[in-house]
Amino acid sequence: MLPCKRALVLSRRLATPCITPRTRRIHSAATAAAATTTAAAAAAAAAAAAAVNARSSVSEAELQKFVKVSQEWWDPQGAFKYLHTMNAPRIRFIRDILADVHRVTGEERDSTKWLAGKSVVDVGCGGGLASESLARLGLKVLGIDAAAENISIARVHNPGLFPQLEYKQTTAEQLVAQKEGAGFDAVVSLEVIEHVTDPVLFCKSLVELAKPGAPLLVSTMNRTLLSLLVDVVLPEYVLRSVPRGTHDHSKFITPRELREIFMSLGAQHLDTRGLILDPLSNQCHLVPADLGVFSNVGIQANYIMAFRKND
Amino acid sequence: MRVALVDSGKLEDIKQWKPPLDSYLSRTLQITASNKVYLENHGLWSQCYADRMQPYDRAVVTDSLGGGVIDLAAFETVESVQSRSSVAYMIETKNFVSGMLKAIDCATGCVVTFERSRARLLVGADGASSYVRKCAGIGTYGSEYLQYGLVATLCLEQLNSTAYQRFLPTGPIAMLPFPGGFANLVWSLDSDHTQLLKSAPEGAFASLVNAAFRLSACEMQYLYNIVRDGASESAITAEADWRLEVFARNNPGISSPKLLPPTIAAITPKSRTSFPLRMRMVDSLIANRIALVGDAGHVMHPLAGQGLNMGLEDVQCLADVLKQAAVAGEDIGSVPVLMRYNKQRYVRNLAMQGIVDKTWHIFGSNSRPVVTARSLVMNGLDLFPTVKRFLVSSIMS
Ligand SMILES: Cc1cc2nc3c(=O)[nH]c(=O)nc-3n(C[C@H](O)[C@H](O)[C@H](O)COP(=O)(O)OP(=O)(O)OC[C@H]3O[C@@H](n4cnc5c(N)ncnc54)[C@H](O)[C@@H]3O)c2cc1C
Repeated sequence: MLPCKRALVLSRRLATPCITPRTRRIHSAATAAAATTTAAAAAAAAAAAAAVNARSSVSEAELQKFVKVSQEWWDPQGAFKYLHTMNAPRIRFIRDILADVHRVTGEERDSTKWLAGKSVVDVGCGGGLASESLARLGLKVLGIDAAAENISIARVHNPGLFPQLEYKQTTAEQLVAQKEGAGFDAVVSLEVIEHVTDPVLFCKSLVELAKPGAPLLVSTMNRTLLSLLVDVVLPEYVLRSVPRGTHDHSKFITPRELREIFMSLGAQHLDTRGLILDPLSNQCHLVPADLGVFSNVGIQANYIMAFRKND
Repeated sequence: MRVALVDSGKLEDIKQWKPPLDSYLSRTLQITASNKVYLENHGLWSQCYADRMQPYDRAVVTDSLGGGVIDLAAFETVESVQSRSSVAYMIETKNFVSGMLKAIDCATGCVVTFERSRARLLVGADGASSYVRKCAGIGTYGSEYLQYGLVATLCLEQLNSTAYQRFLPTGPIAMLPFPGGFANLVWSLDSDHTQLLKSAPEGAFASLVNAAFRLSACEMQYLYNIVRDGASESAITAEADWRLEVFARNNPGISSPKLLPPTIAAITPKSRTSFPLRMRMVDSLIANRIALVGDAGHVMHPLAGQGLNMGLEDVQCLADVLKQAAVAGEDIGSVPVLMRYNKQRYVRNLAMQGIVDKTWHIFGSNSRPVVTARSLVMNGLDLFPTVKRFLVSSIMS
């Protein structure tokens, strides 16, 4: 359970728009860990860096740093292993919600045809883990993140998904203001809301980014004793795998609060699932909120919620 | 998803294969019923020539030294009673491969054949000496049996749809049924005996095979010796046939088809060939962006006819894992995805190889206690249908 939380915390920190000094510390730690790459990997990295250079104006030294962090980020056996593990069930859930909203049934559900060309924005995309998977489903994905470093990390990883997948350094609020990105077929924001200063305003932007009738998917952590223990006390105070103060437990949002926020913003609730990780088998399970007679036990820590913007 | 198929062989020639009208090829495969159903469901099986396949549901396994007998009559298995389907199918390798290639052609837009390409996943299905495996740096280990598989096409004196296998001190001999009174021979031998039997006159070879299914080990030794001494075709045939007559007179209870295969009249000219046999296991079935299926991931003794069947199960498993991954938007070439395939197949393959390997060592032994024990077990099995049923279902499906 614990290493997973650590990875999650790291991811959140990379995904969050508000924390910059701390993210830098994480980055340098990851850079050190990834410093033992082979010559071949370095060559590949240089090629990737060259490709990125053509698109942005970041300095060469900075880029090298991102290449290394990116390798670490994308190493499925590395420090972010559990983040990779949690990704697949979340994407499957997003896909299921999209299928329900578009009334896709039977064998067609498993195909990619009905997904092709639908647009989705991944708000707080971090290193691009979810964005890439969504693009692989055939969706047209825009990954946004306030931290330039995250966007660079995501861009240097080359999964060959261009032009289906694009990254942009911006915030949800800015995107709404620019009006260029409004009207997405789906809005996704994973492990971000617990870091923003004004969650209601943040959710309002998410709703505004969605087309009428489009689904919104938000994942975060519940504010419970369990999450205080596994998401804050253990990683920050016992294991010290994460700097103290990374998470402010009082800022965590309960499923009920999140639901009320979205309902007040003109969206209806579709579904809520808990995410439970089994570190022994390295598998992550999506569970219903209520398990048998025990209500809400499935969503004591990590959970994902689906809404639908009213028509 | 786009798929490219690359092979160094002349695929077009194999696809256009026209079967000979008067015989069967000696390179054949036994396909289990469950694999046949899988291929059928994917529209692959129907592209093979159906009149050149032989379904069979009965196998007789005997032991030359101890005199043990197992009659693996498939109608005793629960599933076949319900579905009335056969347990296995004999098919020529060329018929099988050309059918698969035709079916792939029909699956529109799915396959392109080109020489150079970049892909997110490379599936190494390139056989026992896999180059993909070598390049991926996946190590192998295994034992050489120092044995050869001698194969030939046999013409029988009567129609037959039963498989026969006999364990000889020199290795197992098997006769697998084909339509029209033909059969396929798979005879495991050391290199000495392989050379000897390959060079024996074609006319005498049929008598030697008849003898191998009936006579004792020391009588066979005598026959090998006269072949080695360069006896003529008629001399070998006369010697073998005389001994077979004596055998028939002394053992009126042991008859065809209950315990013995039908008598072989002749072999198809020039159908004898041999292959080296070995067991080889890999350290892993996967590496980053690489998955091994079929003989690239495991090579085993053909005595149970499982090599390709295991390969087909690999393919089903991998396809399933990749489909699940694709639905979740995962990178199909990434290690966590491929690990699921390795987890499911690696241990299963090891176990299957272990069973075949152990069978080989138990039946390859001449020591008295082992021989006694194994004939006790074999005869015992014939008395205990439940154990046998389990054996039939685990060997054949
Ligand atoms: C005597 C004998 C009897 C057998 N009987 C049975 C049986 O009854 N039932 C059964 O299930 N199994 C049987 N087997 C085993 C079976 O033949 C093999 O398990 C099966 O052929 C393996 O298939 P494969 O596709 O993995 O490898 P292969 O059949 O070896 O095919 C490999 C392919 O890869 C291609 N290739 C190789 N290298 C390269 C390269 N570098 N680049 C491009 N292409 C390449 C080759 O051209 C070939 O087409 C028997 C084996 C023997 C020896």
